[in-house]
Amino acid sequence: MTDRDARFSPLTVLGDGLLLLCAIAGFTLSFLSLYGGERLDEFIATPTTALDLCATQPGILLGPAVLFALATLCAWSLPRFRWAAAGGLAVLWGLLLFFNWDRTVQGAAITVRIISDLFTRQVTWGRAFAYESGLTPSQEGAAAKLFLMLALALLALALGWAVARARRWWLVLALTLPPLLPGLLADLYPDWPPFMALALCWCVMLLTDLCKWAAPDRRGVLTLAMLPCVGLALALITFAFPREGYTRPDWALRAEVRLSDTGIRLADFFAQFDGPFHNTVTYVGAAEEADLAHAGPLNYSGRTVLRVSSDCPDRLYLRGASLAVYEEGVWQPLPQGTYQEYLDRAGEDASSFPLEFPALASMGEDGAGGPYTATVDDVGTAGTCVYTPYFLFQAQWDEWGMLPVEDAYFARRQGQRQHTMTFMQIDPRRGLFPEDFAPALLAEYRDYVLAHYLDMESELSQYLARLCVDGGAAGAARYGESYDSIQAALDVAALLDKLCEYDPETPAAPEGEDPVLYFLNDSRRGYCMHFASAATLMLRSLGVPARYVSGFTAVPRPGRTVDVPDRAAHAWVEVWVDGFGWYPVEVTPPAAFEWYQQGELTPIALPSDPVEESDGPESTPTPTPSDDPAPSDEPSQPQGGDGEGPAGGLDPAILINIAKALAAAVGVAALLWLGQYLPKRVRIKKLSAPDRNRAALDGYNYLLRMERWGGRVDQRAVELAQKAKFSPHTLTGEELDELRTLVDRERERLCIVLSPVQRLVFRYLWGMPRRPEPPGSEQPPEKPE
Amino acid sequence: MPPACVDAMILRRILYGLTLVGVLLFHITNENYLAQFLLCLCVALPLLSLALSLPGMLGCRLELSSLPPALERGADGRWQASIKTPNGLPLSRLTIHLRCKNLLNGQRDHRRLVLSGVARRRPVELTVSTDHCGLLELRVDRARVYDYLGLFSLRVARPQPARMLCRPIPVPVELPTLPEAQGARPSPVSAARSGPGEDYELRDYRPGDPMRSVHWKLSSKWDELVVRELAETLIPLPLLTLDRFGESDALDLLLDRTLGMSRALLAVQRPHALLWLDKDGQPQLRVVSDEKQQTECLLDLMGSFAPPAGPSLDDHPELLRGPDGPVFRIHVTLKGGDTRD
Repeated sequence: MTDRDARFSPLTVLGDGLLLLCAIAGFTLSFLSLYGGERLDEFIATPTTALDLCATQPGILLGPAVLFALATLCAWSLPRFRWAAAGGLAVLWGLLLFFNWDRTVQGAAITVRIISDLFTRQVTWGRAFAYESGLTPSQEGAAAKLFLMLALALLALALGWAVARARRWWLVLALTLPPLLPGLLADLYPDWPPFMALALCWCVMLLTDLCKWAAPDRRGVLTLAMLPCVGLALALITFAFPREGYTRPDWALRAEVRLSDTGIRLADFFAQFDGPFHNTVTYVGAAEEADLAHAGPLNYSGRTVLRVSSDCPDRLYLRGASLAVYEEGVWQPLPQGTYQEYLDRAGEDASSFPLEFPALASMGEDGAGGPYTATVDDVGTAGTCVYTPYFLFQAQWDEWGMLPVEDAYFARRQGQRQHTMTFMQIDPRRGLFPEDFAPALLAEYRDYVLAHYLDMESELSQYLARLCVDGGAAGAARYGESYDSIQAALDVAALLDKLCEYDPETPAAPEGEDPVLYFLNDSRRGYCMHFASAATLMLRSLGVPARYVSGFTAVPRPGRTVDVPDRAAHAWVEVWVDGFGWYPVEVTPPAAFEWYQQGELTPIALPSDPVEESDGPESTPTPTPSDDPAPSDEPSQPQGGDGEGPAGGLDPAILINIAKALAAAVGVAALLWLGQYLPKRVRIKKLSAPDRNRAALDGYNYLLRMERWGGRVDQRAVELAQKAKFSPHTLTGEELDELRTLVDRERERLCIVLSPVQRLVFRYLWGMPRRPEPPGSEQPPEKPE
Repeated sequence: MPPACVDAMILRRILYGLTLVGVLLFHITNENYLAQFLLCLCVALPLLSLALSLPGMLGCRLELSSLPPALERGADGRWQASIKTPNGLPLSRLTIHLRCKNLLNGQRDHRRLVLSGVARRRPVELTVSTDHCGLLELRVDRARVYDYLGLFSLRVARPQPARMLCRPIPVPVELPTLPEAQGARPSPVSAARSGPGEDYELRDYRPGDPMRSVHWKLSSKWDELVVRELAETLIPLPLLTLDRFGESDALDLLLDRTLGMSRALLAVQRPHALLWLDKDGQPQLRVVSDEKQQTECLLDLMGSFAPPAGPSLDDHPELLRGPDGPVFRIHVTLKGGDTRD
């Protein structure tokens, strides 16, 4: 029996008992209120689940749990044979489990199913646990009750040890918090009083942590004094900041926006350097320019940048910014003042934003799809750009919190990252726009477009035009004559698909080489930036006004929110359609989306239901927005589809990997612990051996081994060792104690004089200095240094 | 090298800071009420801890003592540090930086006490290194008491230092032949010590003689002033001299011999005096006529620093003077006592 074990005080037992009761009762009632009871009605169609049934009769669970907790408290507080007593309780528990194994396992599965169901309905990740018990609801309730009863008994046993013996607050936290975490993370609330009882136990144990080895009666007094004080503090906080009517304060909202901005700026800053943070794709949320000349292999982190919800069932091309000027491999916006000249010239006719033209043109026509609503929550893009679907309808910029910037993009209002917009799906080839629609309005802007969106170097233009003609992509365009720009764009896209290969690992073009020409002539491989840039320039060479656009693609699910990762960033082309406006065309070959689908560069899992993330244009994209709710050329989703039941979820391989990693971590921790614990036990056993001479020699050997750490062998230790070795007499107990003291003292001394790193290793190998706690002593522990 | 306890307390502060930052971020990014409650709790808990700890922290007092106050070199002795708390609640943690110094040889020993859950007045005991002679002094350099979370600390008032005399181990020595009497002039000091019934001599009055010594009866009879004077002859006072410098081991041996010599003299009823030069070269003379004076003399002898090297009394014969009258010098060295006139 160690010195520590000998400590016993009724006050300590009373304090520990109150803490244990707070923990077990608080946990039980919090758990039941979190996952059972009326709360379930909000989320589950069926009003009664097994946990719901349990929650209606909390006493059935609480009573045995409290009784078992008291039994474990008694067992762990015994001055002797406590392990035997606790072992007896464990055996009793094991017998109960053994005779109710099947029903308990069923109850466990039912409980996990209910919790996972609640969790996955509330959060945007996680996987529902599918389990059919084949039992009636009342039988399920009984099974869950049995499981919870046994689980609470086991928890009480462990909590008894943590509170009465180990006295570690973090152990109590680790035992009681994880089962509640899914509910808390899913924004569910437990009943407040029991949750506060649990918090009371946590806080009191934390506050008495430094005094846990004080004299037992003093520790008991401290615990008993702390309980009402901390309880009062918790009550005051609850009353001062009540849950009813709580809204997140404005400062928190503002801080969130600032933090997000800062994080994005930092990410962009690091992205410009080579190394693990290198991100060659500068257009992810950065609307200022697109540097094709230095665009190397694609490298994404997989972080979510947008959260999109929409009632439109089709793929959305979320437009960021368009770029007009191509110089030395870099796409840039038009020079400042260019658009202002147009506005000055157009006067009142320029009151509408050019991106509104298509919706204005198709207003009132039956063939347009929609209107739809989309909510885009910008959680991780850089810059001030708002990512908007095509084609915005009845735009109210102020209410939507965005501002048109020239004819290139929408800027978001400061501090606002979520925008809800109305849009339509329009196909100009169906001839939806009236012939007499605002000709003056379009005419002014058309001149502007022709003046600025056909610009390119003449040599490059001639070369690309010849390439298009030779490749058969110039049929729809005839240099300023009447042409079908959309068909021309599709022809160019087909030509590019024939000429070049999609490769996300495409390195940057050599210095001095034009990246588009290098892409078309030499490497013949690239990704969306290369295809969109080449297509834009080729269309311009054919006389079709076109511009480079960057943004994201997402496949929304009506009624759900979709996470859009950064790898869904994309580039495409907008072509000018007379009498209509700008129209987006997909020019990247379908092979691109196989790469997106693989998701090899992202840790994010595949889409899951009910809330899933978009993994980019994983299927062949619909090059032009369509009102067809189910495009025929779009491959089916990997798992399930729109409107189906829970089919997605975490990849089992990921779960297995996580489990492996956890097991490895636990194994390493266990090995580390054993590596320290076993030698320490051996050392203690050797020094306490019945053969005192042998024990003395072992102690002397330890001193010799400590010499390697700079230890000193006291002359007295040498004398005692010589006596033990050579004398016919046996050492007395006092002499052996003296030698042990010398060993302990030397170990303590080394713990002080060694450098921090050496001390860490030494403490690991030789254990911590013994805490001087004489039996029944009231003397506080001393650690001289 | 930062002490381990400082590490622990700094670690606690760092952990709390990280927790606070984490909870703050959670509150900023989460609209759940629980986030706000956590933030409030995270702010309130240290304040509550401070409020609960403050009475004990403010009322904490330290006392230092030695057990025993004096002991022989090599004997077991202990320092005692008593902690007084104002109420029944234990203090969470108390760190005390102690400095133990041997005033004779200047050796220092720094210690750090980390006490957790201090609740009673039972003193904490520390071992004393009594390897060398000297006056040992234990001081508290600084002491801090922490709140229950270990985030706040207050300085504790420093107590009076404790002292312990580590005596030399007296070495049995053979006394040199001491002069019994050297027929000298009477000594006023001796007269002052005389008791009734002692012999007197008469002589003529000399200016300066105290009036109390005038024998008035005979003076009136002889019509001239006659003075009576103690007839006792002056015995030279043994003067133990030593050169109080050197390494610790040498000093120990020297003091052992000095104490042995002093005890031997006392054993033969011979009061004596000790003379040494302090670290500034100033002569220090102490008369020893009993054990109490001997202890006081040792306190003076070992209560100030003795440098490894210093002036020898042999180089300063003018300093070899007793309290009064003739002395019989015994110079104590590492090898024994040399008699020198």
